[in-house]
Amino acid sequence: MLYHYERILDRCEPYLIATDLIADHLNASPLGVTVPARNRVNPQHRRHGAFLDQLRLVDSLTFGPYGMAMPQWVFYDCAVMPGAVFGFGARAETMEQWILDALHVPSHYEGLIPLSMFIAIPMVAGHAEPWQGHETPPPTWLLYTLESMNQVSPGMGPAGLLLLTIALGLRVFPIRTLYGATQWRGAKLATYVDLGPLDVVTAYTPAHSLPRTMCFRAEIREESLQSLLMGPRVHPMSPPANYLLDVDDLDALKSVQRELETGRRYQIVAAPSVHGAWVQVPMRRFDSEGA
Amino acid sequence: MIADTRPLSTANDWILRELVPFLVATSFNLPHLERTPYGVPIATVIDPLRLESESFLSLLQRLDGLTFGPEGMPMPRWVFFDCAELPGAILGFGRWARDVPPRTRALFQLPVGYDGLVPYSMYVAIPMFRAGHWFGHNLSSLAPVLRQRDPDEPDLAGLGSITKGLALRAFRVERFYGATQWLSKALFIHVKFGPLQLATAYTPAHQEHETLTYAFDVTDNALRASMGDPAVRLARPEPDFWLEGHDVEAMKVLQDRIEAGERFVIPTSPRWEEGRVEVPVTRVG
Repeated sequence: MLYHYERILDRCEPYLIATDLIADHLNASPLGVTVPARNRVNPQHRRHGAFLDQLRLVDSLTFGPYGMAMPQWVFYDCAVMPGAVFGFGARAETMEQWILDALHVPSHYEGLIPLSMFIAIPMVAGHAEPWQGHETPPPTWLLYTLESMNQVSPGMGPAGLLLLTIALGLRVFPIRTLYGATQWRGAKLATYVDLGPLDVVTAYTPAHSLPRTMCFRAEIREESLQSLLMGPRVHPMSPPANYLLDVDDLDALKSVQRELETGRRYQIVAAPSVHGAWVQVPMRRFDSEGA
Repeated sequence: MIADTRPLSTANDWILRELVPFLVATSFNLPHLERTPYGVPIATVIDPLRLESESFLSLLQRLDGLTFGPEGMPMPRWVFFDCAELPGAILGFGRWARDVPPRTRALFQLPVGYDGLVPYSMYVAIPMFRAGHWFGHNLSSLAPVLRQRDPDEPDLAGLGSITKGLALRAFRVERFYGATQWLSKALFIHVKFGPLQLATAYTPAHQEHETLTYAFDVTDNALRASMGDPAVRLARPEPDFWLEGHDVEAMKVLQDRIEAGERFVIPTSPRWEEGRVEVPVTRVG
């Protein structure tokens, strides 16, 4: 399944940032790609400070333009304490100078430069009750961050880096149900759709800094990873669309949101299509019987 | 789990009598929360995924700004959503708008016609990998602000502690983790739960490297003690040394000892004297 991604595995190395609280419960060899011991980072140890500084730069370059660069304390409180970080990087000595310059890598820096990251944190939903056993892994996770430097400058990392990062990330964590939030106009929505049909949880989200954020829920199966990595134009598990949502039509977003709040079910069933200035998302609007 | 049915006694029972407890939780997280912690019914539930919640969630962000803004770590709105409302929950106390005195209304910049709940405190926590393990993300209490800025408000002493204690019960927390700065006065609240086990003493992964990460087991006695129940006394070891809150080198030395496998606790409150902040530390293993 990873044949088409060998170029990434030749140039990049996986890394895993996890505290002692969670590290032993994660899969450090997702789909057979092993995270080397030297790339397993405990964020509570002082010696990893320089690598974490580089990681923060990746986040500020990718989410900064959205006004959503992650404050450093949020990275600690909301990412590495409850969850963990998986991604790919390349050794500084193997990178072209223009990349090192663009990433403000200090001349004395030796080691891995992160180029992508996948952060997931557990959710209360679906978690076993505490007294039912601490060793039961949480089945429901929030995809907190997915980033690749190729978003900022295509060519910094090998093509396909984002896809391989999410596919392996979904196997690092014991995720059965995945929640996520993304902007309707964001490029990553098309990536998420390749996981399979996405249940729309919110279509318009005033609780978020960017109200035109949507939240989704996806069931993660083996087929989800296969389709993600191979990128079929139409997911085999998706029902046909019967509604096209214009994502720049605020009234339409609010209308779908109001229907969701009354119990109507919507799924995103294919990648957004762009025609001129129109961006439309193919959706399945279910009737009250769920059909 | 054996239910603790003892009546709740706190340092300020007025808060339980007069303020309105609330929960912010999605419909899929809500069934995992305790709705009557220590017999305190929480009837007001805000679903952050609904349009109608927008006004109240904006007031929560305002509360955060009023209490954390001066320390430079106010929470962006997306952080509230991604880090708290979607994965975890928020518990707090508030007053209905009609009962809020004019100066406090002005602090919140309440919209004309707003007749909903106004939050006076909140506790935000995020679930961790193990069931029952949670990370404390944010404790906001308006008590210190109102003490200075609105003499028409009653004494809200203890609001922060009571909010955190009740929240940990409502979230069914069995083991708690948190992070705070050596110089933070929040340490006075955190040690009310008992000795704090140190997981880090110097934390480059955090914005403030002079951050400590702590943990404790959440027991009924710990929660009751934190809320000021005079009948509960917690065992606390004597300090072996005091760490000065500005002494970064001492923090790094302590961090190195933690990374080498030694174990330490903060047994009691810091002492603040003439600009010096000293935090007690005890070696326990």
